[in-house]
Amino acid sequence: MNDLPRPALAHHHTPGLWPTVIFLPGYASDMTGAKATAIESWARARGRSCLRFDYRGCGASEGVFEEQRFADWRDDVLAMIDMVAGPVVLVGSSMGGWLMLLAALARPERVAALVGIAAAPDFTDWGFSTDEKMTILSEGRLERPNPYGPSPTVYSRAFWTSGEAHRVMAGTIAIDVPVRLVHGMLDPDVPYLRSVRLAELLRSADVQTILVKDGDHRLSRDRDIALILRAIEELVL
Amino acid sequence: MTILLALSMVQAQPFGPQAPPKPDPSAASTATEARYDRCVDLATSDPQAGEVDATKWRVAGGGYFARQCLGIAFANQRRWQAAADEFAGAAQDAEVAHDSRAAHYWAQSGNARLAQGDPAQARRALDAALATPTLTGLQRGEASFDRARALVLLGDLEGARADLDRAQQLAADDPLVWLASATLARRTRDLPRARADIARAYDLSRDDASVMLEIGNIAAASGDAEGARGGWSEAIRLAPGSEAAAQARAAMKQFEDAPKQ
Repeated sequence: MNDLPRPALAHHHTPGLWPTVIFLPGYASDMTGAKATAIESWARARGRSCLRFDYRGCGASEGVFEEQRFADWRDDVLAMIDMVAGPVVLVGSSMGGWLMLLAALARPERVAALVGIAAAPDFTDWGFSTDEKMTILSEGRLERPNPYGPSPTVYSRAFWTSGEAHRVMAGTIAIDVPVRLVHGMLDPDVPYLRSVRLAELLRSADVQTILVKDGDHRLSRDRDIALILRAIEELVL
Repeated sequence: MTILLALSMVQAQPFGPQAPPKPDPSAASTATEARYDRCVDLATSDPQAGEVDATKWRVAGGGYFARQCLGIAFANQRRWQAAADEFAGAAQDAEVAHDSRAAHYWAQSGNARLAQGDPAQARRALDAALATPTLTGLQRGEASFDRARALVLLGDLEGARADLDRAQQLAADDPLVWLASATLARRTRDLPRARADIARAYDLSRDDASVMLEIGNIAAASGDAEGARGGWSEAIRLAPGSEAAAQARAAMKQFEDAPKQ
């Protein structure tokens, strides 16, 4: 990490039994989503520790969204892990599922387990057409219609090039903790075979991939959330 | 990493050397028995004087009785390695003499090796102690318990379980045996067993901070935040300066808010 003052990150910590469950939102998302708040309610009801937060430039955290690099958000995850004591379980949604892998590699002694929800490692690589990549590189940014909100989703060159530099799916991923990967088979944004491939690459033997046949990318229906909570509960007990 | 709360029971937790069996009158003269009693009294009440006395006796031909007495003098000065060496020496000499006390000396040596922090050597000594049928009853139970502690430190949790099961039968009134069994059961995720055994430890010793610490740990492993908080805070209240209280305080951090960034 560098010496520049780090922007203040908005976060919400619920004290309780370890391990602390930390929710990592997806790209341009924040900690107020249905999955993040459902995990917090679950933790409260069971006296368990939980932390949700916004990446810099996102939600209520300081910073300008388009200036953020992928590695900055990885550093935000590490800062959150370092802020709490004890073991942590990372629950990463979409891009958060990529960041959780980098965090588990950087903090192997702290990260006890991982839960990926439509995890999207390396999506800067496979998630853009050649034309889109050229637009990002030549014009510095790319706008895409956003199916989940009113304003378009923006990808900056700073973010994209940093993501490309942190790809992990080239070979065995040296993570040895239990991992659960939940993925909807109707996910239009991240093909579910990405989770199947990720399960193959993880070095851990305790990896389970849970495919929801009619699940979409957000996996935020009540029964999707119930499934995610069951996966978390199995790992924290 | 999982929720690793240290195994309180496996940290050096030496027991005073168990009361040694009296020399058998048929094998040793009444004079030897009186000499032995005097030596052990001194080794217990004034260990440094006892060390001098035992050494004198050994030079004068006191044999393994004198060596064991010297071991007791060392143990009471917490000089564990010297004590373990003397007990082992006494055991070897007794074996040569075909004296069944050898098993007891091996058990004492193993206990001192544990206190010294050498579980591999402790295991070897305790294997020797338990290999013969001469060690019986409570002594066999305590030696089994000691070997279980050594096996936990060596990572052989299955072997430790077998020894603890035996110790629970032969030393059923020792709360530390039940505490150790509960801790091992928690570590191997057998929570029903952990809860049953810690309840027994609590019945036998209601004011022991390490028992309360484990009650908290088992509650935490069961996802019972209130029970965990109760056990840990009771451990701190009972013995604020103890190692158990320090571990309970560290665990209580779970209920504190994370520091602001």
